Amino acid sequence: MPESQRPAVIAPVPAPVVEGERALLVIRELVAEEQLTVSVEHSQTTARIPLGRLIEVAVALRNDPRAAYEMPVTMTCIDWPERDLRFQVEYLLRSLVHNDLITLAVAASEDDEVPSLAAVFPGMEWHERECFDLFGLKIVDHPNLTRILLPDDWEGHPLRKDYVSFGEPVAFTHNLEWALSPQDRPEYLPGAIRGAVERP
Amino acid sequence: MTTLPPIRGDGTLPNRVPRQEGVPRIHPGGQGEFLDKIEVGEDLLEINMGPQHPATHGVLRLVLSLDGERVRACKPDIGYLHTGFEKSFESHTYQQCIPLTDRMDYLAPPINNLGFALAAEKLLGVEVPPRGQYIRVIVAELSRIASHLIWLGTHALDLGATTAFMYCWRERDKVLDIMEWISGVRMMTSFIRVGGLMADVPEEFVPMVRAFVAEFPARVDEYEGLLTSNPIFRQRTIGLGVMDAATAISYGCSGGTLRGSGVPYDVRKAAPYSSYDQFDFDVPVGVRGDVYDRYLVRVREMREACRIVKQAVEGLPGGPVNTSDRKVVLPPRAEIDNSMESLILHFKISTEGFRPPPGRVYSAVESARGELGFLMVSDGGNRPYRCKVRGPSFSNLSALSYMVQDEMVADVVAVVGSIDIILGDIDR
Repeated sequence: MPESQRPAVIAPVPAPVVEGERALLVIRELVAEEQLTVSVEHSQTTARIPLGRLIEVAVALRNDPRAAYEMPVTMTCIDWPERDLRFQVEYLLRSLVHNDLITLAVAASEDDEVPSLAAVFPGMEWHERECFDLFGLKIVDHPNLTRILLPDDWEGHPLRKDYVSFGEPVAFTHNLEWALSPQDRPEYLPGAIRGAVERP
Repeated sequence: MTTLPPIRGDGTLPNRVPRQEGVPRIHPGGQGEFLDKIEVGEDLLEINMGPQHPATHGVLRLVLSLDGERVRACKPDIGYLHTGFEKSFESHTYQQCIPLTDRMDYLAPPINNLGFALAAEKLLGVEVPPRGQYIRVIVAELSRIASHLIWLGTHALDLGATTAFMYCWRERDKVLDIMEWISGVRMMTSFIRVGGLMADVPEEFVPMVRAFVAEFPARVDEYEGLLTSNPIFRQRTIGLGVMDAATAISYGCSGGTLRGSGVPYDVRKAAPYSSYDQFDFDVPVGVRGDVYDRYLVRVREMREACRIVKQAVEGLPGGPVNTSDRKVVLPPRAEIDNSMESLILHFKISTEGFRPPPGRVYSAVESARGELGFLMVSDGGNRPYRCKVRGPSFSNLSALSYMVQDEMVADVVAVVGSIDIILGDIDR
């Protein structure tokens, strides 16, 4: 590769004090202020946008030279079963040119259709398959949406909070609470939904 | 950052058949074409490579579509080593998660410990004192060397060079001796804990490390003497599995796989953690992005890691190794005999653990394979509410289909070896 074509070196740019502020410039042009929720935790910015604007914002973040978030770091899901939209889907994008990281977040329910970003970032394809596999996230327009880690005939989605993976729930006379459903099970037992029942 | 000039190499060697003209490259995902949509005519043969193939470094299965001896499509099938660590994290206290992280990237466990510990420490808001940070750096860099040695040995073995394997094993054993001396365990050390270290290092540690770094650069010269200018090795690796920088970035590659394509991205430079900004080291990058460049980058990385260890061990400060926050680390043993509060704290931390305030953080370290990230969410309990592990090999392997497109089937083992995958890291 000739010297002129080599990509920009990230390292002379020190990481910003608060990561992701650069992305907000671009996002605010596309998403109205009342639809956008910005939170900053531990100097990292999370921008929560409406589900319908996801692809548009991701393309803009990748292509806009002010942002240039061209590297898909990862995508994941956080399950909050007590919320109306239980899945917080997060996309982490990195800008090598500006040495910056932004988290795009969308909220989705089990039935919401999350558009695939595989056409924008080829690297997102496997991460989306992982979320489909382990969370049962409904992803649409994906080139090859199959289970990636678990066998194809696996039942359930293990990383959901209501999926019991530890301890056979066998009830004896001294621990009848083991026979309860995950919602009613005390917090200290495996598979319980946290905060459901206070410990006696 | 000081960036080295690009690694030497003329890039031209005879006998390398160019990619066939007129055959479109297939980008699995993103570019519209996918394996299922390729017309498998009578001249395309589907074969199975793995999961028990010795050159797949674990249990990786590749479904190859062959046109004669040329690979037209490759579909990696992973998950044979899926252990559900992310689910396990949710039912273990933070300190109990550390041994689980050892088992993910099992060739460089201390770096996994470090990544998890840094994420938890950010949530807790605690800082590790300088001596603890320096020892963390030494242990992490030594394990990076050990991991690269296994990669180099097996990569050379895949290509038929058995001698390098024996040489690499010899030096790796010395690193494992040091690990055993400080932690009692050779491989799954769990030495780096949330809030500091398992214990301070014994006094023999510094002389052992000094002896190792004094000898190691000459050993790297030995490996390079076996491989770098070896005509067989060069013919099998130069110009093979080429990936340009833009493609590597779009697949989210990191580590030697990304730097081999000429992108000098290294988490230790981009967002220095654990005192890495105090050491002088270079980030080697490749020029052509082929298998040979990735080899050169990783070999050079071993030399740089050795430099870091040397600086850290010479400048090793005194003082405590653990944070002073008594809610996180156990009180010293002598104090428990005299103080009721210490005894209570010891009991509370051992049974219940600590409770970071609610929050979310993404923390990345540079593992031997690339950017190892931990996205950790706390709900105020004593166990992580969610801990997502961004394994570097996962993203690196997703670019494999691109790299082996239109290469010979016998070269697939060379390409797989060059991206240095660990299936424990991919399947988690």
